[in-house]
Amino acid sequence: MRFILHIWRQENAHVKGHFETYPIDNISPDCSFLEMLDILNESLINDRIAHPVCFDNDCREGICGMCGLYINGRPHGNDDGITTCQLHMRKFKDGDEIWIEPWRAKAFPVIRDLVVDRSAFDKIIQAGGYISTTTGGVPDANAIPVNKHKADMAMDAAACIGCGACVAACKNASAMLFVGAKVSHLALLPQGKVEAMDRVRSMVAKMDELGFGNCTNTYACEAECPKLIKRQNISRLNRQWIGSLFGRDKK
Amino acid sequence: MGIVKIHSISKKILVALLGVFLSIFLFFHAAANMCILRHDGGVWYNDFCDFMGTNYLVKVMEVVLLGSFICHIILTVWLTIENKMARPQGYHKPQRSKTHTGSKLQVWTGILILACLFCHFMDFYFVKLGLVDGNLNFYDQAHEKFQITHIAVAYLVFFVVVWFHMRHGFAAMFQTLGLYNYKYGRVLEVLGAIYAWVVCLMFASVVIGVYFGF
Repeated sequence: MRFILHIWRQENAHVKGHFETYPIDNISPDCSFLEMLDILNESLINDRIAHPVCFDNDCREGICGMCGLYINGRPHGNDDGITTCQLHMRKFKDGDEIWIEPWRAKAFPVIRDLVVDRSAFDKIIQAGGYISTTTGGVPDANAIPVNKHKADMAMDAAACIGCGACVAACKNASAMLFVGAKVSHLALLPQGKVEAMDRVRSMVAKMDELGFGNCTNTYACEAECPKLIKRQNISRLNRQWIGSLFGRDKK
Repeated sequence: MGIVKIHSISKKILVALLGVFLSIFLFFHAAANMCILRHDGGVWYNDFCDFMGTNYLVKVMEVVLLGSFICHIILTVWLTIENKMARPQGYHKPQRSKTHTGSKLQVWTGILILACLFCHFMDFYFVKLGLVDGNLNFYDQAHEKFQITHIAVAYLVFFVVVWFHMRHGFAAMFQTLGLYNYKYGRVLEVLGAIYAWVVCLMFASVVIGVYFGF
């Protein structure tokens, strides 16, 4: 297969970026999108055409949440429930023009080319996305009874890999689905319930401070989430926020 | 925007609650308008208008309603500005994600409603306040206005825009107030859509009824 790639090139966050066009040939339909970029980079290095294209990646099996490219108007490309590394070239037509952009958000500044700084998500987690517990002996997993339905919902929310596709897809660059998932997976379980009110207030305050947008219920985040996190988590976040207005945990 | 610190979710909750209040008002407004369809020479409708113009509680509510409307607009504009600031540089390729169109149109339908409302006020409310010359018998005035084809069509278009705004508004309200869940979420959305249909059909029935002389 052959493609015309339009790739966003940007030296660093302080200079203006632009699109560069690279034709690429002899690509197997079974090649993953990131492998296709590897092939491009190999040719850029060998032929000394340009600096290789920088892009984030790690596990390449949809678990780590490192890869994240905005491909032809969709985060992670033209498929549902996948990360960029799980996208294959057979999803495109031979001769297609492919536009590759980094996540666009004030809170995710470009580091170089297609790599963005997603440490804003880490800062939100640091603000309260944890359980304050002193270490000690490992308790028996069955010692605390957990409702099966709630355990399932918590597990679904915990599937969030923090890739940032929700922010990239949202027309307002809102991080509500990410925060909703993180708040939900802790608040639904007995251990996390204890600090639920303080947690939601701290995490939302940090999210606002970092410059993410407001949710206007477009649900592009839900449509593009590679882990299929549901919008019900945003609703739960709102519910928890309202609850926290009427009482806070005492630390 | 940094002068007043209100958290993003609080702002959205306020917008949702004000939206609910305005939607309830719309239902009562539509119900009162239905009196125009009675063949009593406007006795019921003019009595109602007289009550609305003289009752002190109604006058207080008028101020509350206007305040709610202005706050709803200010908060929405505030949220929209913050949303634009959250993405200083947009994407080159237009978004192709499967999304709810209502949300994308909400700001535009809101602006359209504001413009239509101004015209509506010029026809009726400003006449009542004495700011514009016109017939103070609103029953007669409604009959005069709604029998003119382009005015009747314009009002029907206005109600379609209101329907769009309310339909997404209700679904968004349930989500913002944390009521959307796995069990009842869809039911609440359908109930909201039915409410939007009922209110807008009530308004439209008056215009259609007067135009065709029912």
